[in-house]
Amino acid sequence: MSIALRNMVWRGAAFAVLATCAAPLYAETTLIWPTNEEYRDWDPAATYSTETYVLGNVYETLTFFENGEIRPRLAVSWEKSDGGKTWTMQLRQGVKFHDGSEFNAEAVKKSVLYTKEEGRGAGFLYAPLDSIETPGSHEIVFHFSRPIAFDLIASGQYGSYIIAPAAIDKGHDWMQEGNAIGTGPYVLSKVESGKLTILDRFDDYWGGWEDGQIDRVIQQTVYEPSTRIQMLVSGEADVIVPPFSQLKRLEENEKVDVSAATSWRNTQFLINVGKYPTDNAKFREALSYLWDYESVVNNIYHGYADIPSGPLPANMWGHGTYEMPTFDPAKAAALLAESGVPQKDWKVSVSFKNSDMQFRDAAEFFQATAGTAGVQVELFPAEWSVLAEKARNEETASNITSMTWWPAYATPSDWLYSQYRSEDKALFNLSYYKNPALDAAVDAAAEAEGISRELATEKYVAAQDILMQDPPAIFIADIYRAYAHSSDIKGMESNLNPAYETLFVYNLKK
Amino acid sequence: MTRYIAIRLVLMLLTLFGVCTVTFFLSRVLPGSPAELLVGDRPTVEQLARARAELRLDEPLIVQYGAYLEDLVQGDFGKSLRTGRPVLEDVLSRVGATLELTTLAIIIVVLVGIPLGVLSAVRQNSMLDNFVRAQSIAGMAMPAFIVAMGLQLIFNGALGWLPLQGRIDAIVWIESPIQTITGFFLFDSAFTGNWIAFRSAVEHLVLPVLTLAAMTLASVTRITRNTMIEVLKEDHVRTGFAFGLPRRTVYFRYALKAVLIPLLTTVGLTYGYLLGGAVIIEFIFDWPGLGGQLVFAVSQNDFPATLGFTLFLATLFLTVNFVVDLLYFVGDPRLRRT
Repeated sequence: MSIALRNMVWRGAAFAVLATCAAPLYAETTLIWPTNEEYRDWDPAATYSTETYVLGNVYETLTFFENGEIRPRLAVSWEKSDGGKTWTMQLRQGVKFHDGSEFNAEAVKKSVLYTKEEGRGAGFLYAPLDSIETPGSHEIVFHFSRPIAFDLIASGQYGSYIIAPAAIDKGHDWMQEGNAIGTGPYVLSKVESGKLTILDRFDDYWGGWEDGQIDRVIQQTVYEPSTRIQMLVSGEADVIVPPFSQLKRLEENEKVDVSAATSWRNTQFLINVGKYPTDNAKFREALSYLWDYESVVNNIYHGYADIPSGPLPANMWGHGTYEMPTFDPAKAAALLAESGVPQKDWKVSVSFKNSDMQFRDAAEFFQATAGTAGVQVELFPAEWSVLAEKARNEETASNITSMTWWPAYATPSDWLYSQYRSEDKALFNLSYYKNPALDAAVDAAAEAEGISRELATEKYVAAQDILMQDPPAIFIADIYRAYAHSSDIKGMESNLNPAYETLFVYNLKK
Repeated sequence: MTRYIAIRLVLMLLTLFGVCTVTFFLSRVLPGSPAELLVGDRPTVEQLARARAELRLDEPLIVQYGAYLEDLVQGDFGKSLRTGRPVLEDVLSRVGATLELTTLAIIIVVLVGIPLGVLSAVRQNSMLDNFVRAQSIAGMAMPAFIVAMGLQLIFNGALGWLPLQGRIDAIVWIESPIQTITGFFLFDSAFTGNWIAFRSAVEHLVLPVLTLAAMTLASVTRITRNTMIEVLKEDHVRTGFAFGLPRRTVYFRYALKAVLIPLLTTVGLTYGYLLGGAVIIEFIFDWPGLGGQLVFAVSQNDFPATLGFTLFLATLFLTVNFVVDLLYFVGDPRLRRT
């Protein structure tokens, strides 16, 4: 027998022995988290999307929004002066970045300036930033050109993570490759685009560690929802974000718990006020009475959403509460007749994001309910890149376009400014709504944010009052965020903070 | 023969150029703005304008195509708008997974389908033949995703023997990473003596390979059977029997040889089909191959990735067919003489 052949036989024998051994086991404190998300922007200054699910465990913000209040995080105290144009922050001592370097005022200055100068993601939030001073090693002063609520901006899930100087020196491309140096409880250990992301605990985390906390997170890319569910049910996975339609079934499983609560995501069908026949206010109002709000929330969102009480989610500060239209075909018929639009023109086009099952089902349902009143609804499902290009061109825009909105940080202006303030060229105001009174009211409210939350609330409600006189949208749902997870995971409730879409693994125990 | 090979190679290049041209213009005339994908969910007007300029979307299509070809001949396939990584890097990190899956599937198809077709032909109208014919019809009629989900339910859900998805256990990938040599996990892990990874790779391969093989086994079996039945009626087979040669010798040495050429064509085309047709299997088993990524690229207007993945798959398909053409020379001595 040749040496090669003998080696092969031995190797085969070794394999046979190994094959009879038990399957490799994950450590008890490893969290297996299959997801269909594919991350691209690992640079915290560039991301404005789902990367925050992971990055929120790696990086931290100066402040933290929780239960309607701003709380300390990397900054321990702060005060504003000069009418909200200057903010002085005292930073936490004894914090280390993952590379062992010290977290201090100079690092914060470098990080904030990097985010501003890169001009990517939510970097525009720092447009009014004039200068930064660092009078002490852990004291930092921000000067703005106008009053802003920097305590709120600093708590945001986009554009507000503090990045280590070493990472900034290595640059955007280095971070985009899946490298990170933050102060958060987890280190980004491995990124294989579209396959695997691994976080490992950062032993020197300033918050310290307790027994039972998660040491390692393995996030696998699993596109198929039924596979993710099967993994959870069979114990191969610890946590998933399942489709709403599967939550009730999972709730019945003894090994699985479902944690769900309101979020700051809401959905609308924006009505184009510049396109016939939705340029007619009565016609628009009629459409809002042809939407079966209750059925959509109960049967399409499966109860994991609320019927909206206004343009903002009801749990966002500064929201107004309004008497909303209900499903009333008789009233709709009367309004249609009153509108003066000839019956032959009762036709509307509806574009919606086809990868969103709720939009698809809701649009088809609307097609049926509107049909009962004689309104023909033509559906145009499309991917977002197609939808956006079509909707941003007045010539090709549909009468109605689907939209999901969530804020960069805790501010009502994110909805009111982006979705309803006049735009010369449509970006996200896809209803083409133009109202100088609303513009002035939103601007005044945003400026008041930097002065006082109470004053800002008053002004935001005033702005919403203007909008709700003739709402250019059908407000569909205030959506819940829901996780299905194995029942031995504790602490999920703290992950239902609507201000963040991150699954904060540090708060979990197994 | 050298001339033949040279002509085939030139034709391959021309075909690839055609594929590239058609795919480029098709991907650019489809509705939707790739700039949206580059800038992410919530761009500002400035970010959108910058993205359009970066992608040269405001330039004439022919200028864009010229620039693309110029980059391409230098080996630059561009950057994927969706993943932000060089397309070539994305392709190379996934091609091993697709090739390993499809190669193992085609090996099973050949090893099982051909003998089954031969047996079915020589025992025409027997129980075995009826079974093979019924299985062929069922195999062709049954959608692949039903087979896949059925296997998942049995071997993972009910028995818990095999994993549901992926190419290897994540923990194995972390603790005992495979040193990449060929991109085929089975070969690489065995070659480096990484038996823990080998075992995990085998476990993960079983269900997707079986599903993929089931997709095409029926057609190969059926074609083998039908061709074999025709060949068995030919004079040289009857002569073989008349000379008293053993049945096995007549079937496998004389009859099967005549079946080989049409079978080579079928197997070659089937392999090519599997390369592109593994998409559903890749989705269901979360197999990190080329097909699933191509679907994402097309559906999301990621035109650099669409072009890169299409060109790569086309190259693989053409290469397989080229190899099959060369095998004709081995299988048919008449071709070597012409």
